[in-house]
Amino acid sequence: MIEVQSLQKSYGDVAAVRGLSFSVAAGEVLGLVGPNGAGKTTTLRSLAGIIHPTSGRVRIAGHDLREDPVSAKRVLSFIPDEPHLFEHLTVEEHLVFVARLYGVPDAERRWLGLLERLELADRRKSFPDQLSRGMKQKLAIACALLHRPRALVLDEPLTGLDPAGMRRMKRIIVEQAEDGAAVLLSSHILQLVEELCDRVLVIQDGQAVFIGGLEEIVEHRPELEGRGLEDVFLALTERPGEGTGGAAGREPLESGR
Amino acid sequence: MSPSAAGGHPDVRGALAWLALRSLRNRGARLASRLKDPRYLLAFLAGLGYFGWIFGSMFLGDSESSEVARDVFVVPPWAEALAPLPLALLAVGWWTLGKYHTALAFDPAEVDFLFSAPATRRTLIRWKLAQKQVAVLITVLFALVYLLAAGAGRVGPLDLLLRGVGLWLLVTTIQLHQIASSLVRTAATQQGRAGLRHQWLPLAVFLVALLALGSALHAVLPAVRGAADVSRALMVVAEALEDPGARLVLLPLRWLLAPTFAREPLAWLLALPGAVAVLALHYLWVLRTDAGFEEGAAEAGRERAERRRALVKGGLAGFELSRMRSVPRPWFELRPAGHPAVALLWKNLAFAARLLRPSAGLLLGAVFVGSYFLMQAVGESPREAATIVAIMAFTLGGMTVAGGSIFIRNDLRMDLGKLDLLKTYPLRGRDVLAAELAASTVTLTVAQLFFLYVGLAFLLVAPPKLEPWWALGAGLVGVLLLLPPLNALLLGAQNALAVLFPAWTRVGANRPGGIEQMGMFMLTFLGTVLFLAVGLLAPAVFGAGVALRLVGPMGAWAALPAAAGAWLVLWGEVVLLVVLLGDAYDELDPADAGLLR
Repeated sequence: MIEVQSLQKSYGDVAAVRGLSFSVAAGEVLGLVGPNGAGKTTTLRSLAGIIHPTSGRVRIAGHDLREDPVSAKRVLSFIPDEPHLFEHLTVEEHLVFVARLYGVPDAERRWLGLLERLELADRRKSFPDQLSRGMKQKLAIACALLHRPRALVLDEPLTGLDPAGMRRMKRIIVEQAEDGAAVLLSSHILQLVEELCDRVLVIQDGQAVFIGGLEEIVEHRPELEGRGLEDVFLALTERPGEGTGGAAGREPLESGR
Repeated sequence: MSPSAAGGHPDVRGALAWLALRSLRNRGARLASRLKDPRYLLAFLAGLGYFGWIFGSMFLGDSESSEVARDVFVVPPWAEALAPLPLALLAVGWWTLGKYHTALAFDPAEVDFLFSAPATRRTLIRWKLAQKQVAVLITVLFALVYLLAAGAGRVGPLDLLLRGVGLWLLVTTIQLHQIASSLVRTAATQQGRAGLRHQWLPLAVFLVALLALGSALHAVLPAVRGAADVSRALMVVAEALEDPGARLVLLPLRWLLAPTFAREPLAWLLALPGAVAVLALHYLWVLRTDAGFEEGAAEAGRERAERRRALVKGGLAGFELSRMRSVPRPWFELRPAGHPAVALLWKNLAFAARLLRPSAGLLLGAVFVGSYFLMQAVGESPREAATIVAIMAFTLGGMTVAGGSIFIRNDLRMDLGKLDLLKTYPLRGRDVLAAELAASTVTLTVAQLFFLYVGLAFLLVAPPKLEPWWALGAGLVGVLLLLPPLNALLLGAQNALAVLFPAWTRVGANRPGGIEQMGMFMLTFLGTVLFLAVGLLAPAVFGAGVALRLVGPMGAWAALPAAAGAWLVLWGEVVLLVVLLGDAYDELDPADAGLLR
């Protein structure tokens, strides 16, 4: 559903993403983790069509993002880490706009349901500057889900949400995957990644350090058996001499999947 | 509301049109709703009155000024011949130094919603160009209003239409050229060799044009230097532009300008196809250029949004600081122990140290020195040149006394957007106000002293014949003593507005713009003048009273205790203001004041 081949993105002489390849199948949730500056957001924004990769190929539901961006984007949704909204559109008008942008057939019924579910029903007439950070995030989520995307790209989706909102968001992510969407989720909350993701892609310096299930890494690194994702993450992304307790894992590890 | 979303197919153009119209409608509705608040209504009316006065005076000006304005229509041939040159130089600037043009800046919401939406890049570029037409049309409209007023009844509807179309073609094409050149530059700089390879044609055309124009101008430099006066020099440059190479380079610009300069409808009609062709080529160039615009557009939009956010929070200068390559050190070192208010003073002075850098002072000083030599080059004697430059420096210093308090804002006005944080500090309101006010007072005084010393330095070259000699010294000491309390009082007035009417300062979530903002500026300016008049009254009355009482026994020396008394009263007023405003600050609720988002 989401296929990335040899993705490369450079800013001048600086390579933010270097030859990244991975895929997310329909119904799968792939977690994207990595230290600050690893290239996560660049990767996600390249997948969303916001920035152009220097080289490599991205396919969304079989559509090449460079060759046929309109078809690819029609089935894609991106939720950025910070919700950016149109300051002169109300909550409901954002959904009207998105519905028309993507041609959502039963739009009104759908957005009413989403507003209800995300506890925004009583804020339908509010403008973004009248919403809290969490409410803005919920609106961005509602906009992203409105057209029933088959590929969902989320960058730190829980930022700003209250505990109830977090729980609801987690349920929504699971439901999206159960409905057959391919979900790529980036988060620093490793507990969330551990809880929701079928596989994890760990990147560092723009390169894949590991991709696979948690259990698979133990095959390569037996000393990490029984450890949580946090320990695994630190062991994989540790630079020589940093000494977080694990050995430096610089060679990309590929799971069988 | 729902019919627009009732279809089953994406309708990107329809959605974008709806977005524009709905945003416009909502913006209007929010403005109308804000005007229910009397203070915004008052500001709106003041702004409206100001613009009405400006345009009214243009239309109802006296016959003499109308005669002068009518001359605007009479363009000498050499000026028309030279007109493409500034445009060409502007274009050279964009090609060589230009940043990503904000005309194609997409704000963060547009980036997140539209770049990931099923829209083609051409649709997005067309959308942005259409959006920018609003600004172009307003520019043309203002120019037409000016022409109508300046024409004093001699400009008919047909004239206006023809000149309006000519100006629209000109402004739109300039904007398109700016966008296209920035797209080429972005591709060439971001994509390295591949970008250069891809954009070789426009880059080559630019280089050839630059060489042709540069060599033509270089050839006439000796003749320009030898010209008797400025108009003769300009005529020489105009002749140089007739060189075949330069003529070819400037031909598209001449075609573009021709409808604007056309004096009659037939000439306009004949000039139109050339200008339209230049516009159409630029439009196709922008649409067809395959340089990736998305990243530059997103970056420019993000920068614009950050700048706007910084402005709303009252920290635009802070935004500029964040872009500095080297950070100058604060003027003094803050020790860990001592009164906490000093920390506020230090913070605000550190900010000033980073804005008023020595390099900026040196640059300004170089401008004065350059002006001194330039005036000698045009025939002034060294003495006359020094006197003129000294007067320039004193005038600029005088202007900072009158208006500096509005522009030097490293005090509570700068921190008002962070009032919630400021309120958590263990400081009384009067301590906060004293520290904030001291910071901007020191900054403004330093700026004024700079102009004062520059003026004095040039006076040393041409000492005035002043008798007795000590009068200049006494005047200088008087100015030095008077500036700090006077500045503090004026800055205190600005800070009083910030504390008493926080929504009227240029910060806050529901920040007004346009006519309201202009109206607020006018009203606060008038308020400051009134405040100053009242503030100076007490020291003046006190000083005059002392002088009258002592003039008998002391004679002219009575001026000294009178001035000292007035000076003390002035400082007394500043202290009183700090105490009163400090108490008002303690009562200020950031949420009620609309300063929290």
